[in-house]
Amino acid sequence: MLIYILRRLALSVSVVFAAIVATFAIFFLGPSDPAGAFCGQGQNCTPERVAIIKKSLGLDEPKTTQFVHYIEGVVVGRDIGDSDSSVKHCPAPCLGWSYRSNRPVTDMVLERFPVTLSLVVGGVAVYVTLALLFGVLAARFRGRLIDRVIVGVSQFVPAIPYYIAALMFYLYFMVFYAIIPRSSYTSITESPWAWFTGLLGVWLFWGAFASTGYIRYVRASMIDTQGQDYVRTARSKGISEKRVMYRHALRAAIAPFITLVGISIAFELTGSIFTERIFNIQGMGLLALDSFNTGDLPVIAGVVVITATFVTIGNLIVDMLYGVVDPRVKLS
Amino acid sequence: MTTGSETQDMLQPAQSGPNIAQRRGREGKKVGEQILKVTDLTVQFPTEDGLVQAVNGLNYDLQMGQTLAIVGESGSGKSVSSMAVMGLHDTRRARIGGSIMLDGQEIVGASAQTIRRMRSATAAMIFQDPQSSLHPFLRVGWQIAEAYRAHHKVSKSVAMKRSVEMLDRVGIPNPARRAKQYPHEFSGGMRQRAMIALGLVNDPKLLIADEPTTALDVTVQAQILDLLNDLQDEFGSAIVLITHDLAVVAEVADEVLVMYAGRAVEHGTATEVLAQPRHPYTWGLLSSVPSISATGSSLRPVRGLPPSLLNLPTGCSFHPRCDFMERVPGGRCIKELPELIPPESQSDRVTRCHLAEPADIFRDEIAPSLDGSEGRSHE
Amino acid sequence: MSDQLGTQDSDRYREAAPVVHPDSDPDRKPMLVVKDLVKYFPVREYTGLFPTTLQIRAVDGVSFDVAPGETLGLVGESGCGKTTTGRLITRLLEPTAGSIQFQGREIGHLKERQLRSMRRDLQIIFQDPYGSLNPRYTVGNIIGTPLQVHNLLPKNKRKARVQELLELVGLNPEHINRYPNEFSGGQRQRIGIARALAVEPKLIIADEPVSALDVSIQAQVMNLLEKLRKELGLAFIFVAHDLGVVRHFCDRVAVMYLGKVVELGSRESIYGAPQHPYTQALLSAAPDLNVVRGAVPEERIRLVGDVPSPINPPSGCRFRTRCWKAQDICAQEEPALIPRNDSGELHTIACHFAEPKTSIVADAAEVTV
Repeated sequence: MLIYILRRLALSVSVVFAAIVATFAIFFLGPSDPAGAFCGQGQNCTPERVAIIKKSLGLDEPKTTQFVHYIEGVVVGRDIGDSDSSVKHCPAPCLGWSYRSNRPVTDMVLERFPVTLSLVVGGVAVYVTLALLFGVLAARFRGRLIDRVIVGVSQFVPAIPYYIAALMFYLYFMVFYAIIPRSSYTSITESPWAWFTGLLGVWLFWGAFASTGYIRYVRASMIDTQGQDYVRTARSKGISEKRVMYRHALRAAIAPFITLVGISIAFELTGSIFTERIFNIQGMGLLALDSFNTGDLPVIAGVVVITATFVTIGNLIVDMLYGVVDPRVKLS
Repeated sequence: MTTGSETQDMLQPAQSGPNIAQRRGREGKKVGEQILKVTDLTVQFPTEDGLVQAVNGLNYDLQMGQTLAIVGESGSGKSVSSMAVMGLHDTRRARIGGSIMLDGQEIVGASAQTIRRMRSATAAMIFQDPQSSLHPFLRVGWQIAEAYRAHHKVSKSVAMKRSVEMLDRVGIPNPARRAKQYPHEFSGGMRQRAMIALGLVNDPKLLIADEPTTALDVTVQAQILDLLNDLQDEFGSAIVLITHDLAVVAEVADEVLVMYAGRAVEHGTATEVLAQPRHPYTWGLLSSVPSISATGSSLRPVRGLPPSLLNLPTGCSFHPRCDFMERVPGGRCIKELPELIPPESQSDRVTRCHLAEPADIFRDEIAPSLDGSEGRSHE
Repeated sequence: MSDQLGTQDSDRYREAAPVVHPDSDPDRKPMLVVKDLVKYFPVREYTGLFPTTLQIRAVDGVSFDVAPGETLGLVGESGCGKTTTGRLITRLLEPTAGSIQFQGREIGHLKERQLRSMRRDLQIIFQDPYGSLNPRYTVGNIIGTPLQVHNLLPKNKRKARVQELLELVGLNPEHINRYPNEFSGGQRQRIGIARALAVEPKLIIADEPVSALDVSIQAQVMNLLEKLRKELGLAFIFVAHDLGVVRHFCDRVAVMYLGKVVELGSRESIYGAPQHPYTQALLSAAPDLNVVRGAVPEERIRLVGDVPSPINPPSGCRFRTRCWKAQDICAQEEPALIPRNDSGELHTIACHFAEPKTSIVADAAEVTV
């Protein structure tokens, strides 16, 4: 088990490294002009000034040297700046220096990370719960009214554009009727209750909206396992139908579902931009969006690298969970 | 629907094989006492294409300590009828008629509660494929203990002890360690042993074994058949063995019921039916099996294909494939469904055929898997 | 030759089990010669920090030959390597080592393109009549494709040939435009047979051709294969686990265990006077219909335990872990597949303690007489 984790961790490190290389290649080798963006559009921006900025950012050096510096920063930290006058120390893991905010990118991203993580974990918890609840219910009463209603709703809801549904939800439930507290983010360490109430509405909406596809998946998976021989064996033991459903059929159906959720978490992490924008939650998605608008390349790159890191860790956790559910997967 | 009432009397206990009497009796039920009586059983499945008539008026009964083999090919209704005994058909999808009296309790139309209490405690079932019949994510010992706890108010540890005991009883070495393992850590033969342990954990009076050795290799099959035989001697339970393999029937069954297109076509002791078949289908099946102990002439298979259960042939369901139709005058085979008829001499032997003296006809066309002298040795 | 090998009582055994070899003809010219055939499948084991590669020894040194018009049965239990052997000969798999000579040509390591001409003479019939036919093609396409691939007939004559083939395998030639799902399992197996016959092969590898079929249908297909064999003079390698089916169909039989042939001989010698303990156990374990008809059941040999792993098979004789005759030599020295105990030149047994099972009976008979 320990060896398995070690090997997977080694693999994760190489995946993250690959992500860093790819990010660097895309953002820093491309036809971007961060110095120009940093300098601004005004008349103050003379070519001399651009050259100075370039030098101060280290952009005048060969790309390979820049890359070595970038990696060096990630591993041991580095000093950024041209002369002794404006040297800024960026401690490891340094993902660069924001042109705009004049701060280490790592700090900025890690500041926002808990926000998006709270959002995603809560949302996933909601849709997993709903998917299992309604998926199992629909499968158990297959062909009956309750099944038809669940399937019908789960087919209708995704047909509505997400941003429209989200805006309507925001307006009706949080503003007009104010049934649910208006969305906001408070750090969990500051006030757990404020954290919970502030995000509750977002979780509910997002989770419910996302659950529709998973409900149908769980339903199909449950119907499939119900036809399996071992479920027939369970039934022939004389245990209750409920127990057959939950201890036997669901147990088997849940394994592929875990994999599916694991894959989807990566999408949720990156796809939270809409949600953050509409519900005005200052997460990583908005940080990336703002940085795009200002051309703050190191920040965008930093968001990508951090996201990649957490997706990798997430996959590791999912694989281990899968190993716990399905003993045929050897973790030794 | 066939009428079966007049034939019920004929299906009385066949005193078959001397070993039955020696089998140990048990509390409540003695060897030879009736445990199962199936009367006019019909199982139908409404589908979009029409009504699938899987079982059409089946009658049989079974005594404690006895092994009844139900023989037939796919679609004959052998598995479907046995699933009905366990109440395993989804009542919303299957129409079940007639009566199944299991240990004095009516199963057809019984409440979910009654059926649940019966399962595993009175009747247990083991299935063809031990690979897929055990839950892959649950420990083998736990799966067996769960069945025990469903019928006994005992603690988990007591149930687990019982589970280990059963694994030991079915010949699994190192049962305590094995109980903690998962099915994929067992070999095919070991899994089927574990299934048998699961089936017998509540000491049921009836064990239904649905093709229990079909998925196994021949040396493992021999081990499992021996085990079933030993356990029956020890527990005195009745066994319904569902199989397509006539050689297995010859080795282990006391009685045989041959099914074709949802109906019994022949019923009698294993020796009688296999040595002197009276129904052309039974005869055809026997002539289809190449022998392992003799190098025979060519096989004489039943020609054609089994009928669609959506649209059964008129008269005798077997008539489109029968080679002996011309010997029955007046086209009765096409017009009239034959009853299960007792031959004059023996009353515990029935055949569903219009042929007057099938035994004589078949004797002239000796089952080719045998050499002549053996085939006649019983006359 | 037999006198040198038969160490004792050779004459008596000849009396007890008169072995007639249909193929003892000295002019016998094999069309297929398989020699020391080996196939290992690598599997990765993740036990340490770095994965290690282990070898599943599916086929581990198998030799036999097949003459024109002959039928050789490969029998054994699951995992014995019989199916892999069949696939190696048809070159659906490439052997790890050893040679396969077909019609005088080494085909073991030919490239896919070079295999084409060989495939005209060597065809395979699969076990699963459902999975082995493409559901999107009509029967006419399925059977006609080999004709097209091998450029055997001009386009306008293909249809007539396909219909002829359908008729040959007992299907209605008018059904040429139907799809596989319109046929039953037995009929599909006939389609598979017709496809194999389309190119007029000389040798057919039949991989469990009847084991997925119901008893009565199984017999129909067996009879068809037998008719074809006689009419077309085909040679067969018949891979099957059903001992009765093999006895019925094959002239010669090779019994396999854990990737090795343990006994090879004529049908009469394998079924009538088996000498390898595994063959004896296998035959003894198979249930016999003739029991109810008064055949005297022999004393049963019951093997205990399971077949060992092909990743790490026992040293010496692979059967020794389950064998009641095993002694020290069995662990140290692998027995060669050679004639023993005057078994006749063409009845070979890989066992240090080979002896006919009937010897006890023969002994008794001699004493009383």
